Amino acid sequence: MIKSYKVLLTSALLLAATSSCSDLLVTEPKQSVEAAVALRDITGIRSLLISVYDRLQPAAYYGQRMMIAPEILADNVRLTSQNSNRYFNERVNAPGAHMQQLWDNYLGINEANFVLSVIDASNTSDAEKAQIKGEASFLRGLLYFDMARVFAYEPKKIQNNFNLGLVLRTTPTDNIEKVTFQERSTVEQTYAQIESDLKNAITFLPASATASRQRATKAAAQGLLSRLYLYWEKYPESIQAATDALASTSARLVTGAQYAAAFTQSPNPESVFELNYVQATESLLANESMHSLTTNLTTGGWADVVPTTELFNLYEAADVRKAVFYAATKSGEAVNFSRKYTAARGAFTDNIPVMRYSELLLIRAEAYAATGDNAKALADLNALRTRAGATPIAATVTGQALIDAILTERRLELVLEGHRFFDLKRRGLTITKAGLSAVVPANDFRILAALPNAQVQLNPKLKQNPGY
Amino acid sequence: MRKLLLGSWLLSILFCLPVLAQDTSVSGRVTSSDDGSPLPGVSVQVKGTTRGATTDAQGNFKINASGNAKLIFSFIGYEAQEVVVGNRTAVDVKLAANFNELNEVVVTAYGASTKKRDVTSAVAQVSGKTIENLPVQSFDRALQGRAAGVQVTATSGAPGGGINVRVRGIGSINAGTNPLYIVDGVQIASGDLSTQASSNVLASINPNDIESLQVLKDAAAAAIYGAQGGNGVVIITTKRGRAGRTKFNASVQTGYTDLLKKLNALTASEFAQLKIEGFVNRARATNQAVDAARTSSITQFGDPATVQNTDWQDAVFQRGQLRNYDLSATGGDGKTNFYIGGSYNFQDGQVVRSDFKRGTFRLNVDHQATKKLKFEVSIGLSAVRQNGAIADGAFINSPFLAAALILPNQPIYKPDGSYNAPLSGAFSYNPVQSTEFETRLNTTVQTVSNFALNYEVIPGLRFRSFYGLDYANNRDDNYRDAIVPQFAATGGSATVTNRYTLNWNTSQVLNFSRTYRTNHNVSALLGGEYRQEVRETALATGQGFPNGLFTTLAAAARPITTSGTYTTWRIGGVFSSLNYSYKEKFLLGATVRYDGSSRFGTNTRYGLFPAVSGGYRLSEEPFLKNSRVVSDLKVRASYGEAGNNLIDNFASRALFGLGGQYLDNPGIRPSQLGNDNLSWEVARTLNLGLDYSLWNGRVYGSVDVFRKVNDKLLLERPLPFDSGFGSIFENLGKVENKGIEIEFNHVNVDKGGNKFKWETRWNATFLNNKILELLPGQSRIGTGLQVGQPIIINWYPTYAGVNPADGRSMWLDTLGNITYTVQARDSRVQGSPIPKGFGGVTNTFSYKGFTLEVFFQSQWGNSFLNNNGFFMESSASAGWNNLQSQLARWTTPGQISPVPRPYEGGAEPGSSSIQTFSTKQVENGSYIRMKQVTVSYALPTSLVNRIGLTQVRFFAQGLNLLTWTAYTGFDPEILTTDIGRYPQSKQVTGGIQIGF
Repeated sequence: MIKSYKVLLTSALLLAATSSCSDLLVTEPKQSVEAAVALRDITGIRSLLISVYDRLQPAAYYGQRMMIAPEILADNVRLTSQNSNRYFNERVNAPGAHMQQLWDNYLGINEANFVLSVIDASNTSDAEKAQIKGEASFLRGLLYFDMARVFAYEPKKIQNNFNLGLVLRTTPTDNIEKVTFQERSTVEQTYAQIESDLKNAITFLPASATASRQRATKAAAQGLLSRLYLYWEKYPESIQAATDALASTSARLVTGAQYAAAFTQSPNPESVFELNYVQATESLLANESMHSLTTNLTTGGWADVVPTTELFNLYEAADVRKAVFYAATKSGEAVNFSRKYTAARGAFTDNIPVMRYSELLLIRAEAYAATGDNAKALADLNALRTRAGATPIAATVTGQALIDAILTERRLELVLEGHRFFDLKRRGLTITKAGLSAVVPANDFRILAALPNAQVQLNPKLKQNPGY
Repeated sequence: MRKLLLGSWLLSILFCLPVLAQDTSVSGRVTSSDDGSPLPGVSVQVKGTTRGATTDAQGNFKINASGNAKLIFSFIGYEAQEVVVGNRTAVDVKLAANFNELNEVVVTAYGASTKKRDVTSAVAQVSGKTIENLPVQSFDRALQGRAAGVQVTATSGAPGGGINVRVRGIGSINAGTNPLYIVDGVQIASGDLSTQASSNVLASINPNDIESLQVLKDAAAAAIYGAQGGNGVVIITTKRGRAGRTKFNASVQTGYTDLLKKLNALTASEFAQLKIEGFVNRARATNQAVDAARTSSITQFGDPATVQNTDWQDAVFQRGQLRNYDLSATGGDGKTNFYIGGSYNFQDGQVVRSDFKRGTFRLNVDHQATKKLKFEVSIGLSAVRQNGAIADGAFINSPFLAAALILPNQPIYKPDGSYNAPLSGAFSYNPVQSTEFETRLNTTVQTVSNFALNYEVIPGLRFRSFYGLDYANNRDDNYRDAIVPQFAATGGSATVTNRYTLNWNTSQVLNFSRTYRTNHNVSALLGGEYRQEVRETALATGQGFPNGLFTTLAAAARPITTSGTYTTWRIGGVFSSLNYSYKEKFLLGATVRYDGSSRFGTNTRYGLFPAVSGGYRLSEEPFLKNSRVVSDLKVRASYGEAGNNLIDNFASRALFGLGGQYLDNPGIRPSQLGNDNLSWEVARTLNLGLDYSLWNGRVYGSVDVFRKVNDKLLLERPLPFDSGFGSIFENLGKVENKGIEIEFNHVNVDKGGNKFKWETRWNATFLNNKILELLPGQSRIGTGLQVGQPIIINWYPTYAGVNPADGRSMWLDTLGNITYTVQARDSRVQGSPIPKGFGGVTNTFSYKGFTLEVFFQSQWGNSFLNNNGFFMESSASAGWNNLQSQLARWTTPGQISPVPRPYEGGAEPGSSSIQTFSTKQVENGSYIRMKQVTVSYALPTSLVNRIGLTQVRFFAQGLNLLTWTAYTGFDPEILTTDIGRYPQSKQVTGGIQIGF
């Protein structure tokens, strides 16, 4: 019997060992760390800032959609006759075909909020604190601005009295208590928030001629601010910001002869702000890259997107920008493909120019023209046309005709860089497409993207855009 | 406190042991009444005491008993017998083999077992005999249609491919729904390892090594597995050694495997014709030149009069070979018994160059060290090598999507013999080329092994100490040769992934069993268990290879990616169960388990899972005891709670994870919000059952009615996305599964002996799945989850056919009016992919040595999206081939046609595209399948014995020979939607089994 009790005792001990000792249930993740310790050191904050840049890169944002959708929703590009069905709905302006994926920008915004909330207390130099604050402010401004362009009207181009902007969040969500239902601000409030972010960025970021243009710089913030003011129709402010940006950026205009090749350089000498892509870790491959969709240079790519005949015919024969396109045949169809995305950074990999020097000139030209300063407008406009080998616009062109000429120039210069749809939208112009019966006037509900339906359903305070 | 109570309860039982009486020695021999052979391992017990003995290899036993005592002889598979000792000192007994399935032994948790007649919970059983020699790689596939309440659906028809098993429906929305698999006490880590081939961790067990399968369905049966029992538990017991002369069993079978069907694709000529119509229709509608459109179509797709057709399905699919070799031996001297089994299995896939090879080895040894101490060792080893095929997914690459969709005017080879690649049209891969020049290899070695020590503390009280190991190592090789144009840009690329799973568990259990005053049977279990699992992966990719002869990473010019992951979880618990029966008439059971899991919040890590059950055997009552009709009749009821913890290992923590890269700097980012209150999902099951046996077992079976409610679901509560987080795991929501399970078996003809016998076994399950609650105050999450609806629904607009006036597609809008531009808001619930019922029926005919078994399996009452149809029934308006059905397209005003007129690009002005998801692609998924037909012939024993053998059996079998269904795709065996899914195959084999 004694032996039995020994066994009993042993088993009781074993039971105790396996059940009551809660240490046995402690596990630690390795790919992730507990939130409380992640940002304790400046290295964590630096890495968090990197994540915000990474948020700009996916195919659903600058990687592809933000560059192609504004072109194909409008009249700059079309699909080849045989295509992979990508951007088909955007081509025909089907309801819901837009850039609603940008609702994801809130992920990056929350990360920028985290950075801004912890940076002041971090263990680093004041210079680095200013640098990081400046970059995070710029990035938050860019994320909000792009969303505003997609989900809201411009403050001066409100249609049907619908003046809602975005849900504005400027503090990080670090626990579930902070996850509350919020309503959309007005578009004026949204623009004011973006303006404040960009002004902060300009204040914090150093004036440096050597700063990488593939990260946020003072010039990039000034340039983006000038774009914001242009959309806001605050023309004098836009002129000032564009002038500041042109003065402080290390980007420059290349010669006409170098124009096409500039797109293969890293960074493009003309880029005021550019996203860098590394093939090993960031290639968007055959299904998601610009290269795949806009060229037939790599077998296995889709080669679906070509300029509309109407746009192609706008180029003068000697225009170097026409030579960016090359003629090819796809499934028996004669088409032109672009050489802006030539897989210069490795298989299916290119950098993405978010803002180029020429856009700054065009912003300023448009702002000058809008304020009646035709001479300065023409000077900026013709600087670009001359460089491209195109006939300068005559001094007799003024007023609306001059603005139209500038908008046309934007198409020629910025095709496949994601501007055309926003240009039509902010000017209140109708989208017309040759060969398609689709006409989308400025007051059509399809001009704004739908908010994700699930979000509207979930949050009773969140108002859907009209028509959806 | 709770533990203290349990302990004192157990002790109180121990102290109640009665005093033993004075006895004399009795010995004897136990033999089989069939052939007189000795039966080793028979349990001999003195009735009303705990005293017992077992027979040795020669069937001899020795026991002390008083003269008026009764001896009970019991043995698995034989009718128990009671013998009065009287004044004898020698008692010889012949035991008759037992065909009453209520006497079958049900293995329940932790090495305990009970007779089926005493079971008070819902347990389904499949004997190893049923699945023996089936040409399937994993036993879970063989369960299909065999057990009521257990729905088995292949997620891939690839040999050795994945299987989805749902016990009594799906109760979880975001948590896993797989049952817990336990092989000889080892809890198997679930989840497929390989990404290069559809794999299945259960494929490491050779089905021929399996003695029996039990599925614990209700909470009363599964609650002892506590937090892991909520989805049901599948207990697999492998064959163990039997004392006696070593018996060998060898079997060989060979055969072929083939497609269930081919899709009826258009020929190149038919396709070109439809294309011309599409181009012309578009030109007319947009005021463009008709002749130019016609020419353009002919340039791209050929002239219907002259274009050459290529059948890509013939080129990509194959009739494959299948071979199985199996050898096992069992024997022992009663003190040490063993079972050794080895097997080799080869099967080709349905796609060219895909296959499955497996070798397994098993050694199970039992050793009675002393009278009280017994060791058990089970070692299972397996090695699998699989050449996978790309499957599952909308991509060009799945042969089950691409082969029928490739434009048929393109030949496979160019005139010079080289591959025609890339192809034009949306499917630019040449799949014949990619299968040749892309390697997708899965190599997995796995062991599921255990060691157990049993010690008889005092008669009736056993202590069992158990240690189990499940270790799997997988290596995936992917090599993409630069010869394939799509891979040329990389210069060839190779990715090697190494993964391992180290999963072990241990349990320490006290098992007590005792009869008091003849009529009161008590058994009890008290134990603790601990399990830990670690998974790691390491991955590397290199690009730039000299040519296809060099495929190792060392040959790569550029290292591209390296990556690795690590994850782990732990669970520990104590449990106890108590069973009591009075005169085998009144049966009571109670179980409780207290579990803690590392996956949950610090505040809520522990959970208590209780269950009670009871049974009443009416057939023991005087008014039924002598009934000629009713041989056995039992009603039972059970209620219990079990848990589900199948979520990510760190789902409750607030975490920062990896956050991409920029400019070669690594990023980190907040990946999830923490929830310190995250806890178990609870499955509460109420079960009412009836077990019956009529006319001496001529008709028998059971009926179960259940209601299972999964409460406090592990639900991803959607968050307002502007917070920066999409969702958080919280315990919210409720799902109900209720149903009826019927097992109905009848012996139609039994002429006795080995004369003609015909037996039929039915099982059917009727199931209703419904979401009862989701978020507080909200009846929906997105569109897929809605209160009052099943967990999975089809959410699409209603298709309204073709307008006879102009041939355009029509849909219904939110108000039920015809619309041509359909929007997301027009969607509604259009049925569910979850079947309302499923079941199977087996007919077995035997005469002399001949046996014929025909097994049908079926499911009904579901519908799902045929995504293949989305592509292939689009009036040939896009860049891929269509089905023959599209020839019925609308052509003339007034024509009533189900197929809209072809329109190049798909979207007529002012219309949604022909290719719009709607009920047009939602199809009825019901089917009846002739799952298995087996014919076998065993040579007469007398003849076989003469040549020194014990058994010679020839057999031929066919799997999935016929399917009756309205579904138009490859195979209606679909879980949610069909998109390029690898269908089941047809198998025909023949073989021979020899025993000696």
